Amino acid sequence: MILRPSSSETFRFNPLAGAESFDVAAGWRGNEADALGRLRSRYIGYVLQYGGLLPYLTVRRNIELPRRLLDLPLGTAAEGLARKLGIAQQLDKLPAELSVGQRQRAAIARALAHEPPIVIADEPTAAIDPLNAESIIRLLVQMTEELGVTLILATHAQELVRRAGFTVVAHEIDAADENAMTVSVYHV
Amino acid sequence: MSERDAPDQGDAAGPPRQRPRSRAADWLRRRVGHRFPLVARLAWDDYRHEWLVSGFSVLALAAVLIPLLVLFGLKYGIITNLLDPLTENPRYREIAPITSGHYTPEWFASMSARSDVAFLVPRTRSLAASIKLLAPGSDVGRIIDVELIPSGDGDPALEAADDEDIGSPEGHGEVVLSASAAEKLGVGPGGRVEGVVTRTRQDRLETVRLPLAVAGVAPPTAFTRDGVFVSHDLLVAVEDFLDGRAVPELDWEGSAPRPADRAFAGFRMYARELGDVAGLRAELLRQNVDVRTSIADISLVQTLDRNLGIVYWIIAAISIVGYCMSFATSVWANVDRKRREFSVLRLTGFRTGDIVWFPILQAAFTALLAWLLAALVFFAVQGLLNALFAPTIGGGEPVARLRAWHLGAALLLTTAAAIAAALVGGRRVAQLEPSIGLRDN
Repeated sequence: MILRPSSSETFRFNPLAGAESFDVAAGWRGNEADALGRLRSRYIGYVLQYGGLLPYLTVRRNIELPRRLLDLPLGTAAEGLARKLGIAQQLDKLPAELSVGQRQRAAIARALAHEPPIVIADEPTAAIDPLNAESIIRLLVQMTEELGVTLILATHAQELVRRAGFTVVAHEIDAADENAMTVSVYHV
Repeated sequence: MSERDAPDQGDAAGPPRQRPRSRAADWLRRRVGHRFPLVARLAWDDYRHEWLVSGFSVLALAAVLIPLLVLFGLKYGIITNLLDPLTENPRYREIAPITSGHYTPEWFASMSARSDVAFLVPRTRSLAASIKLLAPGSDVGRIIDVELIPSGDGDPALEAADDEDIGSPEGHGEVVLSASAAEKLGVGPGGRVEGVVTRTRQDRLETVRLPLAVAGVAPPTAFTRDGVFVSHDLLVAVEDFLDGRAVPELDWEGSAPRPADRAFAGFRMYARELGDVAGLRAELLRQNVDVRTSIADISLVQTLDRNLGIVYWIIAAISIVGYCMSFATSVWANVDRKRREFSVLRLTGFRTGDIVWFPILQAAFTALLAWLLAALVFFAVQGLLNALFAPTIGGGEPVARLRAWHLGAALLLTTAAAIAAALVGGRRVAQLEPSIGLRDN
């Protein structure tokens, strides 16, 4: 888990998230953008700061979107995830009809819908009140643990993640960086 | 293999319930894969979700299309009203020599082979092309002098307005009467008349009588005077008889018959289309053959059509270019407004080639809906214009009208213009990076 105090360092996060290429990824050049797209669709689920749900799709279709893209059978994936995340009643609503917390839960469901090995959450609680934030982090951790998914989380909320059961393994202060970024690595 | 390792089109590791698909959906999947239908559905969902923006976009395009359709409908209606009498009446395609000439079989063969000549038959000297007709069985009991008009298969003058086949006269025993002659003789199709031809040979008056079956009566526009359409054989027989020659086929005595490869004094010629008249006239003038045509009437309408067409297409071009620029700007702004949504799609794994279809498909939706709206408004306006002006300006005929293919062409042009403008948005979408979804909070 990476703790990131300043969002200005997103550029360091993008390559990890597959949203931009690493320079060393020479093998992806050529159709690099599409190769990265394939990588993201199959192996990574995203939970964005603002949820990132598509406003014109219902919660159900938002959750099903990664599976549709991979042409995977839909089954009851959306219902199962929504039930576990407490938004089963909201499946047929549009994101605009949901509270911020419900939207974030829907985003978690979408990130897990196609059972990716990695979920990347970029400050998923930044726009949520503290009470809901703790609940969201606990759900995220619980769900990823249940499904055996590696969670990469970027957040300011150190105390929150400590309370969710994370332990600091190492600290690093990058004095050379003008933003004096602090990187903290935790181990569950 | 787990689901996440499955290929794009893969279906390994299937969960319990398979998504039901229609046969049409299966066909589409086989043809274009699963990604394009998914993108098309997403584009439509987005388009429908933003119904207010989409609606205004449709109205904006319809506002350009409606006046163009109405203007074109008026132009087409007025020109059609002017052209219809010319195209429906074969007289306007007739090319008649003013003076007698010397037209050989080779000349007829070469002119008949031209693609712009619809009908061509030889004509004998005017003086040798008349007979007397009487109808023995008729109550009228009149004898009239009629002109012989050479005819044959495909004679445009015998094409009735209601497309009924009158049929051309054949052999020495069949004729088609002009409407005027039929009325004076009191006979109709299926009736019988007698032809009387008189000549003076060696100071003796010789008369032959020829029983003739009336194969039909020509429309009044075909020949306004007293006339009779006859076969080439009968025309030649009458001329030969009047010239004192024998006609062995009819047992008419006289001097030696003419050779088969005789020349003629004139011809009856019809151009294939109205537009062919000018070319044929020019060709005959080049051969020093003075002709009479309806070129002045045709040119007047054609010039009017061309000039109105130029004015229309200038207006249309200005409107379409203006609309394309406005629409391209609107699409660009729309893509910029939705950059976060597009970046989320890219982050989810949609490829550049997938999401560039978004603005293009939405432009196609706008074009289709605007066209439908414009067509509906056009029909309403057309009804109003025709009710107001058809009785006074159109002579009872509609002054505004469009054919189905005009509307089809309008749909194609509209869609092409909208898609061309939306390509700007497609390029903008292609430039959006997935990292915007992470960065742009």
